[in-house]
Amino acid sequence: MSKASSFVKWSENLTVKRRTFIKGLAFVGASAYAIAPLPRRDGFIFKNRLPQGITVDHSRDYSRRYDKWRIPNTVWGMVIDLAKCDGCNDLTSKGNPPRCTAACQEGHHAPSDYKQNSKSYFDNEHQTQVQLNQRVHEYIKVFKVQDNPWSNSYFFPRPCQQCIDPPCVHVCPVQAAWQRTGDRLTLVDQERCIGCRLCMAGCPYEVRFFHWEDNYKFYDSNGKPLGPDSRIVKDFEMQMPFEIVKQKGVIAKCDFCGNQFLGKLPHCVASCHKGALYFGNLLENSVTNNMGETILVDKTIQERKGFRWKEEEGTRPRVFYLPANTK
Amino acid sequence: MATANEHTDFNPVKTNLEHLYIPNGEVMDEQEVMRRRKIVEKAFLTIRPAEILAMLPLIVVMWVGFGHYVALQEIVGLKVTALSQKVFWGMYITNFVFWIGVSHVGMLISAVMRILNAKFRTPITRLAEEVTIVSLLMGAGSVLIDMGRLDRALHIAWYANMTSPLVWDVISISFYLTGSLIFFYTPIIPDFAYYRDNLNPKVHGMRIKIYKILALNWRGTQEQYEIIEDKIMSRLKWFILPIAVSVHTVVSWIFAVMWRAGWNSTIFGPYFVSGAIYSGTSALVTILALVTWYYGFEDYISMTHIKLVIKLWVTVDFVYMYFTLNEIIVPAYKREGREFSVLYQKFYGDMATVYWFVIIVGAVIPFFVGIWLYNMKEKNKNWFYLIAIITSLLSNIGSWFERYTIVVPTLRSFVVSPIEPLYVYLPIAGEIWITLAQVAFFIFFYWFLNKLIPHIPLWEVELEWEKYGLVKGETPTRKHLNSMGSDLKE
Repeated sequence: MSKASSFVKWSENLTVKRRTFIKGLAFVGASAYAIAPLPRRDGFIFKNRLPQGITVDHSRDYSRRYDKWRIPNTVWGMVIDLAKCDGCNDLTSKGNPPRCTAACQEGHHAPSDYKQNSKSYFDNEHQTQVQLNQRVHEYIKVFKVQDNPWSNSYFFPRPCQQCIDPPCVHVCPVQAAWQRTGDRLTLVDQERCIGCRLCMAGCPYEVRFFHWEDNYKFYDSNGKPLGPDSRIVKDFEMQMPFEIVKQKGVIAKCDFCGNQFLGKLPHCVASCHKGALYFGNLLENSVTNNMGETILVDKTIQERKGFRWKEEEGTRPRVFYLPANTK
Repeated sequence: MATANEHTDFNPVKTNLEHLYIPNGEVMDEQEVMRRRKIVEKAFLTIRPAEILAMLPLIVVMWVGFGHYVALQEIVGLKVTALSQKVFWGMYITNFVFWIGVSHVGMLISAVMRILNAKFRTPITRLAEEVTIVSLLMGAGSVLIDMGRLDRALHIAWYANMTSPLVWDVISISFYLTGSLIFFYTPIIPDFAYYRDNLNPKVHGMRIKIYKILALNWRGTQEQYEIIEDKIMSRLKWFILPIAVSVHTVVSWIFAVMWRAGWNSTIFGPYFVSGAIYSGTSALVTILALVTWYYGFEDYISMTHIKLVIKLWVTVDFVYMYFTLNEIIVPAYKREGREFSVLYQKFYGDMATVYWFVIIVGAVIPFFVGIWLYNMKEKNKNWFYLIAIITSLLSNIGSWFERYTIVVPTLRSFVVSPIEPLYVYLPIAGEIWITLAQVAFFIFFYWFLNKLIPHIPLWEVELEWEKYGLVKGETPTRKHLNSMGSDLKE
């Protein structure tokens, strides 16, 4: 008798009672419920990356990247003086990114190949150059803005606004977009991200970027992976909150850099030739630019009528803008 | 011959069932019922050469699409699409919304019509339920295709974040798929049992083995019928209703809970559900007309049946147009900056051709053609089928583009400054092939399912005929019940 027909015979003589069946189901369900949280609690499947000697009491943060890069009593913030920013016209007029963007892409080893990544054509209707397949990562991007036809246009640098109440964290289905306790930085767990791009839709500021392919900066010009002596591999292995992504299919974003943990300013702040970007600990109420100029946050915002971008969304950003016309 | 009404001694409400099945109002004898059953058997037990010819190009398309997916997208990454940092959702998400939408027809026909006790639903239930199941699989597949890291799909289960609309979606789609499978499978069991016992073992040995397993030891006893009808179907029909409505509502919330102009709408839930039922019903009209015309099922699915489905289709089309109007008028009147930049693309911009196709060919023309079809005479049968197939196919293509005009224009418009250029998304070969492969897979899988399962729920139809006195003598179902030693009394 073949296997199939014996299965047929078995199925004909099924005598499992419903009660037994439901009991079995309940047992399976209960065991699944008991086993399911294990990977999160004990690193059952995913390796626990928490360094020794550091205690983190928040279950949400457990076994995430970057945990040793954390300073108590800090709320990092940024102040951007729009009156100072000139959009790096000397560079952008030649098709190059502005200094902050370039320094950011350099420091984060983010895809920045403008020529390969974009095809462009001229849009007659809007009288502008339109870019197709724009896939470079601009964690800080400078926009030209004109509020109304009579006002002067100004430049608007856009980093991640590091919201206190970030929408990307709410919409992420796997908690890969997460806000850590303590300094409340919104970070991306690239080892958990599934690449659904829901957070890109959820972000009202559009500051999240997707890796459409493996990061080409990890390979030399012949397509061979770079050795352990190269800077990119060393930076990658430091694993501080310092967005360096190797593999395709995940999200990356501005994370206010890891540089502050080394006592330095973020790449964009350090590179600004006008000193328009200020960075610092908001709890200390002082932010600094790369010219060595330190300002008080509350006083400056009161005097210069500082604002947060898209206040109406209720996201409570930690980037403050000083308007261009109140210098 | 006596007329049908003389036999309906227990029927207090006058039914138009005889209209549905017997145009001249006569009562069927045993041979007539058997002749009708033979038509279905010929359709699902044999494969015609024409069908093989039709399936071959589909297999080629599926193969090309699969190749594009595996060889390019899974290895190189989503770089092979036309998506960009700005327009990060495109054809795949459009497919997702479209397929999940099409799946709503099963709920409409089998649950809502069962609750309303609509007589015409009996022979078309199975065809509608199959649409649901196959298109739900397609919809779930579209999300997986769109994902950057398919290898981490299980993270949704491990790390589920209950505030994410995608997790709600996974939950409601799983519920709907499970419910639909039970709803689909349960009424087939008696048909499986019939063919387990009545097929020629020399010709259909393999089928008999499969049906033996699938028939779950069906003996046709009173208790077994009560389990099917009273315990499963009549309870599940109430449960499946909120689950099905929740599915597309949650899909709409994926868009509506985002801070995006064009998606930021409170009526997105009902708007999506109406669009979903509309596109599902058009798919059903296509399939009913095609299957009935090709296999000659007129004795089961008469023109009246299709007309009643078309009536439903036109009604849902009206609701859908009403919601679309609401969705247009309110932002168009206010002309708020970002909302208007989205509307401008659709009305006058480079997406205008697509958008007006969606409105006119996808919604307005089917409405009037549907009314015309509903009033068509019996003698114009071939024209009826042809026009029904063409119109419903066009309306389905319109529905796909409607989803496209929801997803893409919003992402193309500016976020920071109104003087930003309009970003461009033009789908390229890989995406188009994968989408076509999905369509091909839908048709192929649907056809394949129909080679395994009778197109019509034969036992249900025959017992209904008996119940309303349309048959003189014993139907094949009744004979089969007697031969199994069933204790089922009328």
